[in-house]
Amino acid sequence: MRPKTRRRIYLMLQAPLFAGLAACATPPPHQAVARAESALVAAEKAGAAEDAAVSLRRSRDELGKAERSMEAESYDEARRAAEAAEVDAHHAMAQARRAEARRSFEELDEATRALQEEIRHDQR
Amino acid sequence: MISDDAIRTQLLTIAAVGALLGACAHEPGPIAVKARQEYKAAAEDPEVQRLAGVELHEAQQAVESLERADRRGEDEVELKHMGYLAQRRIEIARIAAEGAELEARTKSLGEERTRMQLEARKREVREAEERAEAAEAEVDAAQDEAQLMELDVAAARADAAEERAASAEKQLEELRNLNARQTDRGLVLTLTSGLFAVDRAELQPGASAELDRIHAYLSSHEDRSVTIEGHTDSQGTDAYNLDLSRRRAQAVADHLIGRGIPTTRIRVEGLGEARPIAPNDTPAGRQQNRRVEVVITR
Repeated sequence: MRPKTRRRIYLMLQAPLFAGLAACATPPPHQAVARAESALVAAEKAGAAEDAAVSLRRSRDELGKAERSMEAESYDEARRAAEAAEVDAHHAMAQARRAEARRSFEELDEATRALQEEIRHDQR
Repeated sequence: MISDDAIRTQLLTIAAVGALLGACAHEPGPIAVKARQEYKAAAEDPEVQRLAGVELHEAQQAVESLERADRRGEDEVELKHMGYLAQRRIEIARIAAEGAELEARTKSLGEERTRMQLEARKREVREAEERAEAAEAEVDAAQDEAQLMELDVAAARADAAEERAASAEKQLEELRNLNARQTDRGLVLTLTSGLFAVDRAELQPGASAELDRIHAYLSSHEDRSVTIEGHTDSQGTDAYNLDLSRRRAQAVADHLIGRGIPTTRIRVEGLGEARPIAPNDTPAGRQQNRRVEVVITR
């Protein structure tokens, strides 16, 4: 083995160890917070305030917690809170869409019943 | 310079760490186990599989990263957090499937509704056509009926005209039979030949034929009345002749009354010798003047 190749292999093998150490020193989770914020806005737009009040409140609370943790530089806590805020916002969004779908179905169902009644009436 | 020994030592270190991690993987923690079970249940639901593929995939990724964290030996706080994320992702997949199911039902209901409306519209058109046909048939029938009625009316009119013509002809015939003549006073019949003997006021037997015709006329024309006027020739006094002419007129009236003509329809007048219709200086003229005139009035 040539000395140069030998050195390269040594460095390559060391890399994962350094990476593991680097993970311990958590950086501020700006991206997670940004994702949570945009997910929350989307859920609000989808009408989650009426149809998914509980999940939406949870999302807001978690986002608030994430922001406070960022200020306190507790970045692990901030990341977890931001991730929870995002998933809760998605949860609220799914509920809002389901509620909207149910309303559409029920409206159409009622209109269809009325139409059936009308047709039956006309046939008499 | 890095020796072979150094590399060997490094490799041993990595193997040891790997072995530790591998040991963890054999015994997944309760949080990871629970998440895996919940995911499995959701993934086996055909509705979720069919209608929420993306969300199910995200749930799977969340469960897998929880399992990796579990194998890595992450602390309780982190595992609980990741368990929460996985559980939420699974719920989201179920909710999304329900929403999509409702959307699919709405869509097919909408199609059903459109089909029903189309059916109803078609039927309406069909019914309208049938009604139009029926109305047309009714109009045709009415027209036929009107035509028949017109024909009836025309026929009735023709009948009436014929009847009127016949009746006018009959009347004319009757009047011709009566030997009547039209004057200013109305229709006048003059009864001359042999009604009365000289100086007598009784009807002679031969008079009845002419009186029969008058009687027949009055019987069939109940709206008519008659004035019966008696006349004489110039022999005898005026007073006597007036009386004689009156008695002669009365004799004719009595004859008609006796045969059923009401008194109210008959007026009697004696005019004596005042209105001769021929000269009184010959027997033939005097004969003509000894007469009774019947004036027919309305």
